[in-house]
Amino acid sequence: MLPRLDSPGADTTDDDGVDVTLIRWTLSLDPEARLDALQGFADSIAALTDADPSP
Amino acid sequence: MQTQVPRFKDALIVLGRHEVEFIIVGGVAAVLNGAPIATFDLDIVHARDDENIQRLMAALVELDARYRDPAGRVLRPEPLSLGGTGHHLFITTCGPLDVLGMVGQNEGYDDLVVNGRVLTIGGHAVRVLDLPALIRTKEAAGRDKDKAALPVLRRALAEQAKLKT
Repeated sequence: MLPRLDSPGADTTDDDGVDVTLIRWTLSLDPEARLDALQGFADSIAALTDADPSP
Repeated sequence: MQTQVPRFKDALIVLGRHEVEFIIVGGVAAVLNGAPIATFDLDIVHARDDENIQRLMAALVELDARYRDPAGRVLRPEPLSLGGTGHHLFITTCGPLDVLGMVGQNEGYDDLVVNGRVLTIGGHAVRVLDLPALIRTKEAAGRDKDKAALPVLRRALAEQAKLKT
């Protein structure tokens, strides 16, 4: 059996469970790009919902 | 219930084209400030003077805004009610748009705009509530959904501060 190793990303969340890497990535974008990312999220969810019309 | 995929930038462009005075609050404000929050509606607090209500009405007509009515009735915005302090939850051709007279501790546009940042989105200058004020309004609202967003907002503010130093 291979030795168990901690994930190299184990310390990426703070005490509240907030993913700090995600915040740093978002902050690296300019505001319009942040809005584009949110739009992409909304579009993806809509596409998934269209693909599966169950409630 | 009506559904419509949100188109945040397009909604802001329509509001900007009609020169509506407003400030973005809520989840979209969080995202624009760098906090990774998922949201589907655009929340704005508008100036409630007569001239701005007329500009807002024109934008809402262009957006084909009607209230998100669970009974499925087609209820259109009215200038008189938009002049009040209440919350108007619309569905539009650009998705859900919440037009709010006041938020937090009874804070209206004039109270919030001092804590606004001006950003250029889609070629239009828009005001966005900054993170400290956004945190304050969420704390004041005190609802579970507002409290749930606070850890991300506070951490984003801390990270933002680190970048400035």
